[in-house]
Amino acid sequence: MGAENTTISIQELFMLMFLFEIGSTTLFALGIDAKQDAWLVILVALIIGLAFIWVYTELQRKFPEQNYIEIIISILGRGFGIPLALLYAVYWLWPAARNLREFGELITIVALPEESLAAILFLFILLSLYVLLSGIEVLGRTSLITLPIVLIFMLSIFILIYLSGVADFNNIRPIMANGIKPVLKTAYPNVAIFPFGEILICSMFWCYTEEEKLIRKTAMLVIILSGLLLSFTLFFDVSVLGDYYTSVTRIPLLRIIRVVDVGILTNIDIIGIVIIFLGGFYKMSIFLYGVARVVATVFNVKNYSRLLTITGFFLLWVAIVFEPSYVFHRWMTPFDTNYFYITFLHIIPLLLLFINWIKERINILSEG
Amino acid sequence: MLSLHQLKGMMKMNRRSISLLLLLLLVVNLTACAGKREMDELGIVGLTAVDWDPKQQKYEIMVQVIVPSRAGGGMGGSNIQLWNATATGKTLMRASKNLRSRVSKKLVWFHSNLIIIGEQAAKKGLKDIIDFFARNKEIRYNSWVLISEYPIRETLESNPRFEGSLPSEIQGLIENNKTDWSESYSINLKDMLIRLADDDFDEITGRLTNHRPQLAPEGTYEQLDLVKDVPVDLRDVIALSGAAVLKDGKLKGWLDRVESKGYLFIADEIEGGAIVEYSKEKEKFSAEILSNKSKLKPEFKNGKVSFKLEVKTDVAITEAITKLDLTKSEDIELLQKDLAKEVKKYIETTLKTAQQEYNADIFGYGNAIYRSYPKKWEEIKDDWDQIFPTVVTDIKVEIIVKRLGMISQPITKPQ
Repeated sequence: MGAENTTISIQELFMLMFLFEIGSTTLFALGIDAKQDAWLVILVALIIGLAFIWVYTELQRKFPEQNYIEIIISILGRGFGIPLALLYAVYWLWPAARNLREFGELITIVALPEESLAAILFLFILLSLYVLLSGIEVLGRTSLITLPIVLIFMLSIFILIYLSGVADFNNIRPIMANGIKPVLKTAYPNVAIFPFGEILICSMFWCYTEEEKLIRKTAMLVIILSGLLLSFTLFFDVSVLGDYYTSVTRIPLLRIIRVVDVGILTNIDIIGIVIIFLGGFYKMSIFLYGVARVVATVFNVKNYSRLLTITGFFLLWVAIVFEPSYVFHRWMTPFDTNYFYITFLHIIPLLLLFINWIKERINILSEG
Repeated sequence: MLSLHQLKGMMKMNRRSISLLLLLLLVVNLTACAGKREMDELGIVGLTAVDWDPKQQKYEIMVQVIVPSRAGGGMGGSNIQLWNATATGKTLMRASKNLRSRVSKKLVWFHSNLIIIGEQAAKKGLKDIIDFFARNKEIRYNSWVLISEYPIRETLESNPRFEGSLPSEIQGLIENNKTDWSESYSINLKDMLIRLADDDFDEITGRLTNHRPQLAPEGTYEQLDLVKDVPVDLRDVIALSGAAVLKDGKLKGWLDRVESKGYLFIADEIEGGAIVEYSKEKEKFSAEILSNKSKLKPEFKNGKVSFKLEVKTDVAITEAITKLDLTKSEDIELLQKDLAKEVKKYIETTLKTAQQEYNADIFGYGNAIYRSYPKKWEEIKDDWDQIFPTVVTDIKVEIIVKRLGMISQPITKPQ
């Protein structure tokens, strides 16, 4: 399965990126550090996210036929490009492993408490490999079915919660009690990076679409829509649970689903689990695909299927071994967002664009 | 779309990996039915009750369990097997583990929607207890949390009268209170959690009492026969009456039914069915509330906080023993003023009890200040306990008589 004959339609790209953005955000109360302004934080982060989408797609526009790693190598040359590309592989393996782990934990908590974590993760990877071995375009096509399911479920949760009369919109007030500072602080870097910045990995397959001109528009639309959805989720989380309990509860979405009580519609946890699971599946799969693609690009690997399988199982190993517990996981989160993520997702792409701009200038000058 | 040719190529390439995957899928079988739960192995908890034994310094946990295998021995399923199980322990988890050592079924909490807390435990503090429930993943966030006036042992020994089991009986009482009589107020676990976490909101929830029928045993003919063999002290029935007031999760005291009604007016929680009644000399009136809208607003004047409460209520006259001519608008206006005065009295009594007697901010006055004036709240929140009892509330009640009932003039004159 070489990359040469892969094509993704723009609709599939849209749906894939949308599912990627929904991803694991449903597991956390993002931006809750700003208390009841969390929904506002998301909107602010959304705007920052849009700015970086411009950066990512600008790189893509300069090198329309290449994926992100090829772009790095084109700009920096092989000497600097390849080490940086490998760093990206290592870095992307990390969120992939964490994602995998998160969803394993979720299944253990909510559905199969007596099942061993390794067995669940193993099946998860297996399913992901099964789809990815047929190529990224197959993953794209499955998203045509799954995205509507996720969206319908999400919207029905909001409607049901509203009908249950458990949402107290007073909990949202006062808006910006301590000024705009806490909102901005939480929005950048935390929320701007997770989930909006992470979309950079999609630039590993942006080059497969034939409608290159639509990439920027599509990505921006994805950021806006998923940001609005996320903001809405936080709005409901806080109005149902209050800011304090939203921040301490494990999976806010499941908690608010638990209070739904409309006639016979109670205990509909399964809807929440479907949303979380599908989001997680796509996010993890795209990360896995990205990591394997980085390695394949750098080393010019011919047998991509084998590489993908090996990467998948390596990922499984990392997910199980590198995180002793959920507590460690939560402790690690601010650390890697503040240092690693910001470097890889914001600083390096900006630098790349800048270096490329200088190179273009030099070319123009030398030609002129 | 993939063409058949491409598909074939794919199959060839991946035949090895696919067969490997299939082989690996066998692993799934090895886990068998891990985590399975058969219906006849389950004990479905209908309600959970917690109490504190000050002598032994131990928590007491009590569950009422429905056993499905026994439930509905025939098609009708009329005699559900229910039993109470109790255990004690230094911590709640200890108690619940001790409980399991006495139960041969696997206890599941998915259908439990009542948490009853005994007076002693409530006095000791709700925070520890609620922490246990909030951490447990099986407990539903919309479970009602009620405070029992008597030790839970006594409360749970009451007999359900109309329903098959005590949990559904209590649930029925709560539902009825909302729509039919509005003289109690219950909150669920989620709201309890929010209020316990907030400093600007004290807790209030329904009071569960045992009530001994004064007249001959209540019930159906069938039950009357049964009751003959039951000792008199077991004939108690359960009742929801008034509310419990807590401050920082600790029980401070009770609100009686009229005070609870006053609370509902302040908190804008009246859905219907509540009545306003009064008698003046020989005249007697009662009116049922059709709909109600209350607005609570904090105001700052000269740095002092005061509240403005506006109540707008539509009522229907249900009893009127009077000389007034209810078809005349000035007489109706007189009646409306008197009813409003009465409602104002309810509200004032409740405010007095909460502010002076218990000093518990059950109305969320602090919360309302925080929502509207976050900066000012920061200044006064540390002294809130001293400020709250002195807060003045300006009450405005407006009552509109919407209906007069099926007769427009009184049948008898007051005697």
